[in-house]
Amino acid sequence: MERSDGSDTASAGGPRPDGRRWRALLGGELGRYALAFGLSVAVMLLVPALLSNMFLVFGVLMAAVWPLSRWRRMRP
Amino acid sequence: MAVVTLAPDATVSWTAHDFEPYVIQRHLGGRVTLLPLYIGSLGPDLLTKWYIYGISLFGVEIRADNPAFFHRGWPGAGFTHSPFFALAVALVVYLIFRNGVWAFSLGLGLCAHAVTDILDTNGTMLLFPFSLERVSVGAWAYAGELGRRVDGFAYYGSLGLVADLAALALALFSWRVLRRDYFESRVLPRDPVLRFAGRFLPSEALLAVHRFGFVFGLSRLTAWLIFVYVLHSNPLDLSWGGPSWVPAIE
Repeated sequence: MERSDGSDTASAGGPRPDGRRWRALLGGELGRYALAFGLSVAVMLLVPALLSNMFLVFGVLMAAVWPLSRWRRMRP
Repeated sequence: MAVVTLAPDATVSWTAHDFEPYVIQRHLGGRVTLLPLYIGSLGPDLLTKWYIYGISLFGVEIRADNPAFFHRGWPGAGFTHSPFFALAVALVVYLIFRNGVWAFSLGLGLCAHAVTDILDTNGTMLLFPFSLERVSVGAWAYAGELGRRVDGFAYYGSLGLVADLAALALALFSWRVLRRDYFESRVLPRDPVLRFAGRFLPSEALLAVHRFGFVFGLSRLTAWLIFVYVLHSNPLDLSWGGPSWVPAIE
């Protein structure tokens, strides 16, 4: 998006173009939860003994939303 | 070599119990918090289902002689599926921890589980200990005594599937409960356990704990449906008390 002075609002911290917004969303919170969901379903189907295994889903979810590399940045 | 097969997957119930706490939270707001609601909602089956489906411990099969009766009847563990048990647990938790919100939420979760389970043919002892009679609507056949896998095929091949999808739809209508701002403004301040955990865990992890039930329910519902209908060709029988191929417990 371009301002009247010719600068780009996205690079200036303003609204992002749709493509970038979706990329940011998928690479952000929604993406991490979607990754946890997809991985959990895939593992359950590959190993049917793990169908409905709450430890599996909890582990995958935590690993997806809270990888150790984010520890320092996310500490309250 | 000792062989222990605990099958933790077998200890949990169907996904309606995962979604219900979010619906309750949405309707009761600050009077409840989600973590104890969810623990209560899964509690009765976490305590009992391993013994219903059976475990193998050092080569010895440990399983209830009459799984269906043990699960919901008395003498057995059926008392865990009763409002009386929910009240007793809530009282004990309140007397120990002096936190009304946690005690109420836990009791309500346990009570919701007991009420939801009247939908199958086995039913629950809603009036325990005053009556040992099981209240049942009989919408689908209880098949826990046939083992976890057959139980899954029966449940998702019957009106149980509709119940789970309805619970998912209600949880989606309650989507606001899953939002970060709702969690931070309505849930976290009222939950002493999460606040305590917050001393050690970042807010992102606490939020994931809050959302876990929904992710868990959605994941396993999806996996079960693919397993039952795509990887196997399970027949769908939406007749009352179905599926017809299961000898329903009554």
